[in-house]
Amino acid sequence: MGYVINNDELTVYIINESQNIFNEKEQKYIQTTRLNKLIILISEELEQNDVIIEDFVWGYYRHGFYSSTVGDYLKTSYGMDFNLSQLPQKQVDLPEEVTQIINNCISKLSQYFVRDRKTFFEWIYGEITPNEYRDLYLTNRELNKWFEEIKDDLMRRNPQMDLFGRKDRNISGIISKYYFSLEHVEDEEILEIFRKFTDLVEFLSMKLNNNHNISRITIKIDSLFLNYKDIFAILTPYIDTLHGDAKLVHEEKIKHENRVQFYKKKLNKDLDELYEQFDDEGLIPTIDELNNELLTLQKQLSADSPTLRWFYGEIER
Amino acid sequence: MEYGFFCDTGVLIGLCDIRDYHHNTCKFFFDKYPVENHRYYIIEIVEKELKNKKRKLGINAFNNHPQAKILHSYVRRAQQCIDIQLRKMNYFNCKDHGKNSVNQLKNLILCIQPIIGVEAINQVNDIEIVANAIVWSLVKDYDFPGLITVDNKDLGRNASKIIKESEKALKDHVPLKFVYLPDYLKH
Repeated sequence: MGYVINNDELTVYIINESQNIFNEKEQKYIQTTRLNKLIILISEELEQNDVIIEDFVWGYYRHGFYSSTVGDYLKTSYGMDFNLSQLPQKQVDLPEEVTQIINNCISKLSQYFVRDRKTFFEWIYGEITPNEYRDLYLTNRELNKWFEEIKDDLMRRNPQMDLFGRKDRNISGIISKYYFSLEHVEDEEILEIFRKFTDLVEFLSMKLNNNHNISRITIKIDSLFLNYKDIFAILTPYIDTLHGDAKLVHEEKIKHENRVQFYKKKLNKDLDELYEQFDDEGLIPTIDELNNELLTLQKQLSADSPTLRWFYGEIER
Repeated sequence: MEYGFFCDTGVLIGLCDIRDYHHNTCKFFFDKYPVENHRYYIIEIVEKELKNKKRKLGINAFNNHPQAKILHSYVRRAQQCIDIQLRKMNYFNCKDHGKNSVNQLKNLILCIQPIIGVEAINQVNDIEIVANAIVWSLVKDYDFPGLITVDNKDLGRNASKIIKESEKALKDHVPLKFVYLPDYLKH
């Protein structure tokens, strides 16, 4: 087809056409994140039809696929907080073949974009996201949900006990799953930051199971949750998945690398300080508490499971 | 009587993994002499070796295991235990104790190498640990300076030979006692 359009034209046209396709009630579902994702999905279809989109770049970031160029355009033009029904129509002229593809795409995708938040993100992460990153995004959601639920438990001062008499809502299972979703992370320092973070989360969960002072645990859960947002940002495969205008991809890579360096420094400092605070406040588990945890896990393991010494011996071979 | 203990890598693994072959002996010893109330020493190599193994143990190692996720939780917990114990221990560095200690260390390494052997990386580390433990036993004034270990092949069974050769090399009495934990439990 060989047409060339640009980021802003594409965005404006999709806003205009979406306002024609979605009814007024449906338009309320289309806020900045969904609009951004809709534009990316359409851009992929355009690309398959040899339409070049200038000044456009996207990659997998905090909420899955995200275009910073679309995000910047929307923010500058309409602010942060809006839905589709509140956006004005703007004049834009695109070739008919291009508009045809866009219109068909919006019609085809519209049903997915008017679902509730949970169903929408299950579709985004469970079906649209490439296999290798699905577990990362799904487990991230699970961990965010865990933080919300545990904070709620702590606020009500009434943590629920499971069959094993534990109150930590199976955080170990979520964290294990998380580790298995990080195959794409090669930076050792990032993995070490993640380890520091999960260790502290698990220390708190052990203290919670052992009826430690709830107020202290609550304050630390809040601190860890704040750090988690930045940790997730550096775990995302943004650089590896950047796609679009080559010059912008290059610039975006540099920008993200700088962002990662900044977060790494900040997180190392914050997590080390948190560890010291844990130590001062008796939140580091005792060897007996750790042994009890190990006993609970041991009961679930088959007798022939390898030991730590065996694993470490294998590394040396 | 004041006790001081020098730790090798295997002891920490045995203490922190309740399914480890040596767990009961290590637990028995650490229950009797808790880290909180006694002076335990390690050298940086021990910490580095353990951290390095922790770093290298990626999820691929678990992939073929039917209970991979539970096993990962288990291993993580044992590693957390090791990290916590390491933080409670003191670091010994020969360089903090003058030129003479550094020279003694060099002599000792050369003298212990043929006894333990240098075929594997863990043997090289063991030599460093033992040589440092000997210097430590000379510069610290414990009534009982013990090197605790669960390694019979390289350390336990060579204990008397190592002490004898070290005394020859240093021309001095070496107060270090080897505490091979499985024997300690038996007695």
